[in-house]
Amino acid sequence: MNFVSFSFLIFFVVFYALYWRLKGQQRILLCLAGSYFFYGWWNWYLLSLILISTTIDFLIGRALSKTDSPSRRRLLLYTSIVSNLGILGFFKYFNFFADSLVSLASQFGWTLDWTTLNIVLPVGISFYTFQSLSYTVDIYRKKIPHEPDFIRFATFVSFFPQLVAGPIVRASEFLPQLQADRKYQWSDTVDGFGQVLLGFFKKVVVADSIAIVVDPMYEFPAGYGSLNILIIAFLFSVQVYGDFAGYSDIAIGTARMLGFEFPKNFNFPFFASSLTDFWRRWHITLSTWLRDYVYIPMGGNRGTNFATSRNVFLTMLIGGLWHGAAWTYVIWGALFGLVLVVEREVARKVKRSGYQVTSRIVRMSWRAFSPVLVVTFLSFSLIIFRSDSMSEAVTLLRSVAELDGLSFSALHNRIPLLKAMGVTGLLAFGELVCQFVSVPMILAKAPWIRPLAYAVLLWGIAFFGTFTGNSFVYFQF
Amino acid sequence: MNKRNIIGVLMFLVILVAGDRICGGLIERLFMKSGFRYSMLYKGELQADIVVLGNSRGLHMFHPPAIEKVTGQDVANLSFNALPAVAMPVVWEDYLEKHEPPKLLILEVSCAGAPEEKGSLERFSVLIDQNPKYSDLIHNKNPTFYYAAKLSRIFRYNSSLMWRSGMFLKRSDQGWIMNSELNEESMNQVVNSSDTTLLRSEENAKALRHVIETAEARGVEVKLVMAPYLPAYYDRLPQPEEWLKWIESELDRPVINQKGILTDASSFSDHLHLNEAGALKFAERLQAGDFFSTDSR
Repeated sequence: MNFVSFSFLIFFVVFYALYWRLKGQQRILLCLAGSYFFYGWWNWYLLSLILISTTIDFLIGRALSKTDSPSRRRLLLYTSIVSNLGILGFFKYFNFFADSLVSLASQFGWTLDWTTLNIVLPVGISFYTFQSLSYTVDIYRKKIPHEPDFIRFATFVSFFPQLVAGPIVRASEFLPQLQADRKYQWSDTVDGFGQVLLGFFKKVVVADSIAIVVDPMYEFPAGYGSLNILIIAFLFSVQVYGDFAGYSDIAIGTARMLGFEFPKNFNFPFFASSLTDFWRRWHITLSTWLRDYVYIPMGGNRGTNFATSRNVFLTMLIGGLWHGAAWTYVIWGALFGLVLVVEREVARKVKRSGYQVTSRIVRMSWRAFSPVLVVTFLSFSLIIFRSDSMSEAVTLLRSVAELDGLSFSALHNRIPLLKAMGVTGLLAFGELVCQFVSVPMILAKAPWIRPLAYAVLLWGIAFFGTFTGNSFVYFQF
Repeated sequence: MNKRNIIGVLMFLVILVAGDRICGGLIERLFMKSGFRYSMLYKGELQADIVVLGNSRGLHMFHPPAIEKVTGQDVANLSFNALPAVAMPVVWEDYLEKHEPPKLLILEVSCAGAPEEKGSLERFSVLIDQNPKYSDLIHNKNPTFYYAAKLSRIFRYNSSLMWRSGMFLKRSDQGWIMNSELNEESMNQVVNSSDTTLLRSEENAKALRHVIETAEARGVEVKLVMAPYLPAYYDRLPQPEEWLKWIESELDRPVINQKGILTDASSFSDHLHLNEAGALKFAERLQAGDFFSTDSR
């Protein structure tokens, strides 16, 4: 079920009304049934995968809690990792690896008669697999106790607001909230509703309006001039942000209306002062997951300088591959890994040299200018990310390098482009204001602003929204 | 929910509805102030000797400044990008209601064979306040959209027609045309394109027949035309001559096929549309063939 649909509106109204009427275990059961219904709206059969992951991790969690034997604990942990990543690997990466192997073999003149399978990619598999996996790892690390109630654990894995595209919520954050009966609070409903509206605005006004301009270029890249490609690459970075941050806002706001507190997933990433800072602000729950479950177990920054750089690079490579089974994602991840290593090395060298910028003006100018560099790099890298193949990405990057200016023939309908730029400006203005003004403080001081702000958001959605029924970009991951 | 919260919710609803009505009214005024063709139509400011009706092909083939230049007559083009044939009777009847009948109506008929683009009819929600017939058309096509447009006045103006009207606040859009030339990549795309369709829609043919009958009843001479396609594209169309025979029998009138009148790719901005230079060349050739004279029958 798509958040931006009439069916979700009806579903949520009914769910919300029932949710606050029930208590205790009945309420948890409703959450589970509602979440399975929400997911089953796409494909009932694929619910079995969630159920398999849930059952395996629940049983392993229980077994881990009953043994102190290090070797047995390690065996249980590996079982969980292999089974979770096995399911993810098969459904998401089998064809990719099979194809890659066949084409590698053909380079050596061997012909492999290996056909790919017609596998449906289960929506949200990367999200719920990571979420479920973190539970067993945390029990193994003795950070959290095991959850004795299967229904509650199954609800944690499949809770509908974050099931298909995050935020990736850890067991330590969510299970304690499920254990206590949430008390109805008016402020939760009002705040949550506001965040849902903001999410809808980012999705249907910003992301979907920009998609109309971006999608045609990737369907038929020929005929676009270098400046067109640069503009569209920048717009795509805003589209992905609007789409994913919009989804996260709706997820967090929906959960809030039900009394749950979810972690923040975006923190104004386009204002990042460096690429390292960018990953602290963009898809925060994935970045921290990769940090805690990939980067640190590999050694983090505890080893030599080379080892740390290697760990950064490999973590980003895995992050790239997590986004999808294609070489474009792998190269994108590797590119980010490489640049993060270089950035880290430069920062280290500057620190070691003892050089410090003393001029306040220079410091402030650099702070104002550095986000431009970050967004420029992001936009370029997303050309690879968004392309259907590496050859398409190379064609586009080559067109950019030709510097052949702006081709108006590819932009004969300028209204969508103007609208896309307009909504980008609107978003930029809103986010810039939030850098200097504390919205919660204003709402506390002048509560009358809240209904006006919500109304403005709804008018904006009604007037500027693009209601094409596009699903969220991150659903495919 | 305590009393304070109830007041808060009521206040929100009052602001929401009142603001929607006020902003919707202001946007409507802006729309009607524009030089956009449909704004001018409903202000009665498109009086002309020759009127053109069609979709984007009608819009790009019969460029008013070009025709005015070669004929010296006033021209109003009511065509619009992806204008669905079913909406044409409403546009045409409203034109006749607000203006004196023109001498000649040129109807570009390939719109009857064009697949309907998603959302093309819903865009006309901006004209619901001008003619409730648009409501009926939208209701038949997309009831959810219809109810949303009824509920929110602002939402009615969330349309590409509104954005276009905003671009022509201070000038008429009758001179607007895509002004580019086909490049090599686009030519290759045309040659390899699988997007070649000419639908046989009874509903569209019925709508065009209604336009013709209404015009003739008011003493307007009607000329039915199939404007030129880029030859490479025309060759890929599935049996265009057969389709022409079909539309002629549906409309019970002859259709002039302009195939071959312009063959050079430099006159086209894409496979379906002429550019400004091409439109002028087209108008000159039509004038040379006495096409625009109204006593030619």
